[in-house]
Amino acid sequence: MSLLTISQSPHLKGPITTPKIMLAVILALVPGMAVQLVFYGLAFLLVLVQFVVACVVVEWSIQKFLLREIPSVTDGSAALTGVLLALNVPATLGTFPIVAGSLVAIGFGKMAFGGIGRNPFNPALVGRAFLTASFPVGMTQWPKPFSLGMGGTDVVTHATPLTRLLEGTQVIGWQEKIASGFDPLIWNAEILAAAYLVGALLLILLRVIHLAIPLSYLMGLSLVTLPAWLVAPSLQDPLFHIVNGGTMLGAFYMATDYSTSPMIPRAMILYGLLGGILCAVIRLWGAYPDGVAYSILIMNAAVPLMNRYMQPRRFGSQP
Amino acid sequence: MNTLTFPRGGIHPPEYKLSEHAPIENFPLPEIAVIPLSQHVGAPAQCLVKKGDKVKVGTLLGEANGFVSSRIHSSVSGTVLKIEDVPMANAYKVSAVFVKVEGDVWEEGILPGNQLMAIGNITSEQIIQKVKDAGIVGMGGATFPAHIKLQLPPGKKPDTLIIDGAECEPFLTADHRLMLEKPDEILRGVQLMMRALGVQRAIIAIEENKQDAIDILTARSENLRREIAVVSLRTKYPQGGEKQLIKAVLNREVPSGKLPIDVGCIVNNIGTAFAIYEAALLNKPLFERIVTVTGPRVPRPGNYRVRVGTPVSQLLMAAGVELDKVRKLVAGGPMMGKAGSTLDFPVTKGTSGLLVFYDADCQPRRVSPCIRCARCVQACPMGLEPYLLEKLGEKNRLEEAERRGIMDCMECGSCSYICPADRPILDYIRTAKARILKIRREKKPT
Repeated sequence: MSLLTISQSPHLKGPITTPKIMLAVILALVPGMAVQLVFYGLAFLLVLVQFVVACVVVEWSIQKFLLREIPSVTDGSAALTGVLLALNVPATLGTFPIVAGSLVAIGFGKMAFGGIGRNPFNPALVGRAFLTASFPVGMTQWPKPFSLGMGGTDVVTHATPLTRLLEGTQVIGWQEKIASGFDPLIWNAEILAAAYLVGALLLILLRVIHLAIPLSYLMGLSLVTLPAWLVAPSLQDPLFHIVNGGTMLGAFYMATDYSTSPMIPRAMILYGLLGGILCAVIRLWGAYPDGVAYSILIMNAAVPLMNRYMQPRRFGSQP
Repeated sequence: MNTLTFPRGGIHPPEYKLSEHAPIENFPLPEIAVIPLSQHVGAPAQCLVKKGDKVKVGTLLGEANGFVSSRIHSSVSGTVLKIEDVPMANAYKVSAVFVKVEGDVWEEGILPGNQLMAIGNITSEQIIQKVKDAGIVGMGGATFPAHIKLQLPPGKKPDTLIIDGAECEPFLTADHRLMLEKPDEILRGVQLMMRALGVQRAIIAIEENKQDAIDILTARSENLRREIAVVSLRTKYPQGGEKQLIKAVLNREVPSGKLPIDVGCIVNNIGTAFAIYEAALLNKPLFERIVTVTGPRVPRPGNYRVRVGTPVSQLLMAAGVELDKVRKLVAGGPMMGKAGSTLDFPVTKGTSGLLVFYDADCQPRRVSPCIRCARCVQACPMGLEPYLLEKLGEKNRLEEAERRGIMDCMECGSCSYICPADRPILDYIRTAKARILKIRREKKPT
């Protein structure tokens, strides 16, 4: 007779695993990556590959040589951080900032806190914040879609709508856009936002992410931008703020990061609302063109408090 | 018919009801029956026989020893060989009576089950006495002595009896088959329980994956419609959890630390209803039960009427299990059952199923760090935070765990099932709960 396995119940195991979750998020980002690839060509692909490789190598090396534990990069979370970083930066970013950003994102953003699940801040956003502060030129020169040749040496940059908003220069309005017909160059932000939305809906349907966070984030953003727009139309309408900048990527893919977001729906709504409000405030009255990254990082800091004081309603407790 | 459910938490494991179409078969008598004197929650029964005694089917072997205890009867006729400790499914050793089987002679007074008996004018006290005398326990697996549940505490008056026919554990089909094959007996058992408790209303709740059982019980209770209702439950685990069932059926929440009677209801299992029918109207002690023998790779999954004390290895062989391939044997369902340490423990009153896993079904767990995905929080039907309780248990921060409601955990296993990092969440919670109970016992002035 073979040896019997003794273990405590349950004796069944569900099908969902950490690598499957990470893979699902990466796959959901494929439409967004495809759009970027069309817009910026091989330059984007190069940035993407460098970020993914750098993040994976950094995590593997830290686990292998510093922590002396069995590397767990096969769970896909480092690769996901790399993908998110690539989607957060201009496609013209050089190799040095990419490596430095990955080192900070994975090294300080994640491994310093004990690795997956223990980091209080979204590693990709830690990397992005570091890059914005350290490489202000490289991080603000957004190439014009379709302007990069195969090598990407002749860069034609353009002021993004959010930069124009900050500078107070003219932003192309909806009527003008519609009048121009379907020109991908004019509609680039909307196309990208739609691509992110497609993947995000998939994640929501597969129950990988909870709708509460992105929805309340967008509502928080609108809560400030709607009255602001009604008072001063030059501050732009809520839809403009939703499709431009990092809103879609942030709300659906980064604010929803498990370890840096709350655990229960009530807290998720509060987290999302406050995050959206913060983003709008930074955009309309702050010194940076976009506020998505900082709004999420600030809300990340509030998550441990929320988890401590906002508990699910226990069965059988008084209403 | 609209289906009822508990609103919060729960999981949807694959159902694996492999044996649902296999009719109940009478299992042959063993050569030697090993009848444990403790097959219930509470004190073991006091042994009344000695080596060399002749016993019949239904002969009293052990008398209930204390308030929470139960009688044990012989399941076979023959000679007592010895009284010795044997390991049970959970590896704890329990004193057991070994009976060498000679023929199949029943005690006089036990009526054959081939005709449906009328309830007549049996009184509440008589029913409870017969249930007690017959050694009936909760047949869903909890094995709490049934007569205690029928005796109401002073000042408490239930208005509803709920009969749990959910059988929400994957794989198990014993209750399902019993409902299909003995619906009238079950309904009589329900009526007997209602009379014993003095309630006017009973609700039989069945998961919708057993529509045939819902149909047959609905049809057979047609003329009892004023007192007995049959309702359909959504197929979701743990729908048959006592508190979840009450919430689903009556929308009442049993407060933390309280009992169903505190919200005016009593919950009993389908199998218990049947056993009470047999005890009260056939004078039949509880010495046999329906056991589902199943598993993903079992050649002939089936349901058997088995005498208590039959070694489980015989049941496994009957189902075509190759004993040397068995890697894990679970007594009960896959979500809450116990993994056995041998293939030879005896069937007891609480053995609802035997679940066999081969090597390929028992891949070792690869535990990885918690990613705080909150799936366990969403799955917990008690509204707890399993990831946190796991951590508090691991770090032995028991007071904090108590404040976060760890004692409300009913160990349904939904958290461990759903965890993408494969963490043994429930193992830590269970250990912490045991430590807390130990501390409470030590603090209690004696």
